[in-house]
Amino acid sequence: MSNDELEALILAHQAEVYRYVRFLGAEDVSVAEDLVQDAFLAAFRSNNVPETNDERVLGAWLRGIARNLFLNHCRRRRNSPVKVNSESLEQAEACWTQEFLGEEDGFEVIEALRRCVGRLEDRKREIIDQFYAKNASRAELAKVFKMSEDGIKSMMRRIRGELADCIRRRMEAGRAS
Amino acid sequence: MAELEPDDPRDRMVDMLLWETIGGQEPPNLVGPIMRRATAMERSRKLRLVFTVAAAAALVGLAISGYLWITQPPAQNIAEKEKPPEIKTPEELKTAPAKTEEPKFEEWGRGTLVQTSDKPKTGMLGGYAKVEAAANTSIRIEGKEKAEQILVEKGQVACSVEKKIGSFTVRTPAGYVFVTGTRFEVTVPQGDGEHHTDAAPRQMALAVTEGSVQLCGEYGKTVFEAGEQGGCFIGPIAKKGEEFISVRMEGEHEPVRFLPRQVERKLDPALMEKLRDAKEGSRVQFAWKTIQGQRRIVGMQVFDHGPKTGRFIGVIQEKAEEGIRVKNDDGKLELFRPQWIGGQPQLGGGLDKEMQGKLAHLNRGDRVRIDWVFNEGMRIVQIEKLKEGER
Repeated sequence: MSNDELEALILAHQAEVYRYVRFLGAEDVSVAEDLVQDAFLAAFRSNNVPETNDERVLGAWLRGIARNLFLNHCRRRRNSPVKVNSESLEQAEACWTQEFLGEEDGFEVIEALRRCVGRLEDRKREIIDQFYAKNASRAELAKVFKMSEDGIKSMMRRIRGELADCIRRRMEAGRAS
Repeated sequence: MAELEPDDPRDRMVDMLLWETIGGQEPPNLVGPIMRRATAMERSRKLRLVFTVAAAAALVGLAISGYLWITQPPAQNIAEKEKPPEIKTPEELKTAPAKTEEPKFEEWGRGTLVQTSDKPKTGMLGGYAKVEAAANTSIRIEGKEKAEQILVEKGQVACSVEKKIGSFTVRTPAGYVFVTGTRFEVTVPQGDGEHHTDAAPRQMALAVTEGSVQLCGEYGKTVFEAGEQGGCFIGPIAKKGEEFISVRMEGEHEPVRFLPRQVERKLDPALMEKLRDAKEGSRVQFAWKTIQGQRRIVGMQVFDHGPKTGRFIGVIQEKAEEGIRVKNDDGKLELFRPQWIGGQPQLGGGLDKEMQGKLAHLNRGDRVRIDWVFNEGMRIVQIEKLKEGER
């Protein structure tokens, strides 16, 4: 692979590979960035580059490289908060291709999420704003919303479930129209 | 991602997307770092090849000269071997040039206020963060061990942070820059640190020369890579079009125009939505980058969308540390806080104490009438406890 080909590959796929490694469980932004860089460099070194211009095939190939790098990363870290194995990673890949990519490049899912968040009840919206935008801890949220930490955890899981259902409905409606 | 549940990939996918859309952890542009590493990799591969050839040649040369030395040792070598070691006199030793060492910089302790006049100053923080304060700069040393922090009130600082020792944050009135190992410059215009009020525009400029940093504000976080330039602005919108806003910046005669960045060849839809909500005069905070010669907004928060003042009647649902939550008869719940008075905390600013005293005398369940003003949230101008049914 030439330098120009590598640059084109990065431009086309870096956003998806980054989201993918975060989805797999890269614990923070810097780990995700390192894994993405390593994945593209491994692709650059590889002698088995798929001979195709199909971006979906190239995307799947890069995800495979990123998945293996993530697995190695977790194995190296004894106290990794993420417990993964080949099977759970295969399940994750299936979810990614069906739920996130669908028939598009995932952009529609992000758009759907923005709209679904906008329709949340005020209190739920405030909880996720505090957690995701202001980086409030569960303990801080529990204090503000007068709930237990476990209560906040369950509430956030319910909100995410609600958002996942809303995204799916929107995506199905989009496909039907 | 604090809440990983690997057995539920759907939940994790929404979690990841929320960090991106709400938390501002958008995919970074890694073209530069990857291409640099790829080039270095290629260079080292070529170097390895050259080294292998050179080593082989050297080995052959060594074998030949070894053979010649054994069979006929040159006389000059013997003379050199027998030459006594050179001894320096004490005077020569005294005048011998010392080994050049990295200059040691003064360690700036926490709480120190560093003010430069016409000459720059350089100091160290925690042994790993070197800060060069340019002339006419005012900075305050904050933070804690392994999490050093400075507040730049005005002027310019150039920072160099050693990797893998601790974090380093540069706080400015307009936003803050967070790093773990890199070189960069932060500039706060001269006027911004003085006579600060909530309403005054504040701005800072950032240039990263090595590594990467996070520029953080109310809109979330934005990553700046080496070679990238940009900054942060808080203040009112001077002019607004469908696809741009203009703001008045220090040192510029005319309002400066900013466009949203492009995502997948379209103007970023999330930023466009925020732009639609904003009005001329709305107070905004945004981070921008120079992309292909244009100033592009990369993260934005609109603080006041609607009317600047209003009246709200309802029942106190909760007394929080920062204010009160009140629900009106239509079921709308709002958080009201006392006004911020007196500028930055280090200049004596803080929440209106008189209003905090009034709030302390109110209880959950009390029906109240609030006159408010919008300034980074609803701020209480006046509050009155009502009788049952009174409006």
